[in-house]
Amino acid sequence: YPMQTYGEDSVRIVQLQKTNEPLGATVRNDGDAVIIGRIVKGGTAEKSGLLHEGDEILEVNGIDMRGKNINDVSDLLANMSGTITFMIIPTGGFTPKPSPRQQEELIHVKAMFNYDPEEDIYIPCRELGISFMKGDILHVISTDDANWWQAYREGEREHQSLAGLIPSRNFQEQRERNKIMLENEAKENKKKSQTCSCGRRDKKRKRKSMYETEEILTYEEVEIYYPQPNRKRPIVLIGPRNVGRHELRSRLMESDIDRFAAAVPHTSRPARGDEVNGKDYHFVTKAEFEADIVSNKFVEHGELEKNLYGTSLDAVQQVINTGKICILVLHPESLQVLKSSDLKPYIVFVYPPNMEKLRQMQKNFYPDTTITDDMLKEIIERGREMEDKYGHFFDYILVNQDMDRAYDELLQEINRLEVEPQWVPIQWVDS
Amino acid sequence: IIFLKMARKKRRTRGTYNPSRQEMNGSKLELGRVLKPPPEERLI
Repeated sequence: YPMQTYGEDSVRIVQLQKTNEPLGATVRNDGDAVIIGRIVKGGTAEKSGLLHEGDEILEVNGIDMRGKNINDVSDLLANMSGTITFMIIPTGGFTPKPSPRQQEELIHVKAMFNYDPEEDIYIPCRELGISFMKGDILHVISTDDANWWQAYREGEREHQSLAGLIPSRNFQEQRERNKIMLENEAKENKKKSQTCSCGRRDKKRKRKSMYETEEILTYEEVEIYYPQPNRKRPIVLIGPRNVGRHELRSRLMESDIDRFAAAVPHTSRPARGDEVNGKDYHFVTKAEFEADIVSNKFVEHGELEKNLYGTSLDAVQQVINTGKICILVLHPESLQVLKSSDLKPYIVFVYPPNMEKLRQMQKNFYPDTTITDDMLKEIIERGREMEDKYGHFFDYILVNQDMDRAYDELLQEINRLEVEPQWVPIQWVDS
Repeated sequence: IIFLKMARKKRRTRGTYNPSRQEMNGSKLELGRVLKPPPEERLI
């Protein structure tokens, strides 16, 4: 009997019940050996506690595994069900038993990048990889492997018993940093071979250091937030010009003036005849306005015909205090300020549709203007750029194919926010 | 047979690389070395 070959003490017999589903372990080759690579959360292997990472599989139901390629092992097991008998050499290494506290610890994150395991040459087990998009919520249930976390995508736990693999924060950061480094090196080399001794060098060097400080977006930790009836989250509409944000805002406000409101902006322009201070604008002097800019009181501000205009954080807070939903149309540049405030904004990105739909919409809105293809392309292109650069801020992407439909969809989303819990940055809940 | 041996040897050197245990553990190492595809795993 082959047991003697390995020494009786070191060999263990393990039995597992298998259905048509995988047991939830991976195998890797190490020379001739077939080794357990990882135990996946939610599977039979994990629940039984009988298999461990690093164990060598000698036999499965009497079939010799030594020298077998893992692809064949995987195929073989896929066709087995019922009681499976493993003969294993338990791992020599010490595998610490996770403490109960660690086991329960669940990290919820929002993905800030797009990921497709099919295109990732570094993922150890492609069939376990899960794809996700910016904004998706992931529940991380194991960080035992420093490079590859085990996770479920929000809403998929019910359909999928086995966890999937996603790159860990560290791994993703390193990979991205590596990519930036290589790009810079390539640029540097290209430059070396190109330039004569003119003064361009310094400029490029500056650009390089800019890249180095660039923030690498991976995951953002989030926590459940329950809607509070007297503290409505402001709705922020982001998007390229002419995509219909202002129209959506005015439709909302006209639909129910008791429910929706705009923040009262500040201006350094003198009040006109029928304008009321604090209602139309907060009228302030230019000096006051500039002082408020310096003390970071504005979400955003700009100049028009020598006058300053801006929306302050306080103005948004005032709307929240009245129990209404504040609707804001802002530049994406202001998202960082807004996010680090305690206003808990809900960011909706209004995305342009395809050329034809966009043309139709523009025609409806500006019947007297000739709309060129270049104008439409510009809107679409600007939309893409924004998503690329600011996509990690967005909570909801609203494709505006048709103003009526977009309005309905937005309203529905706002209604949902008032009753359903939401994932928000963990700092918003802790503080 | 020589060919087989070579293939086996190749596999062996690939197989011993285990980034999750040895090299990474949160430490910042030079990336050129860290970012090698790990040994392939299959699900059972």
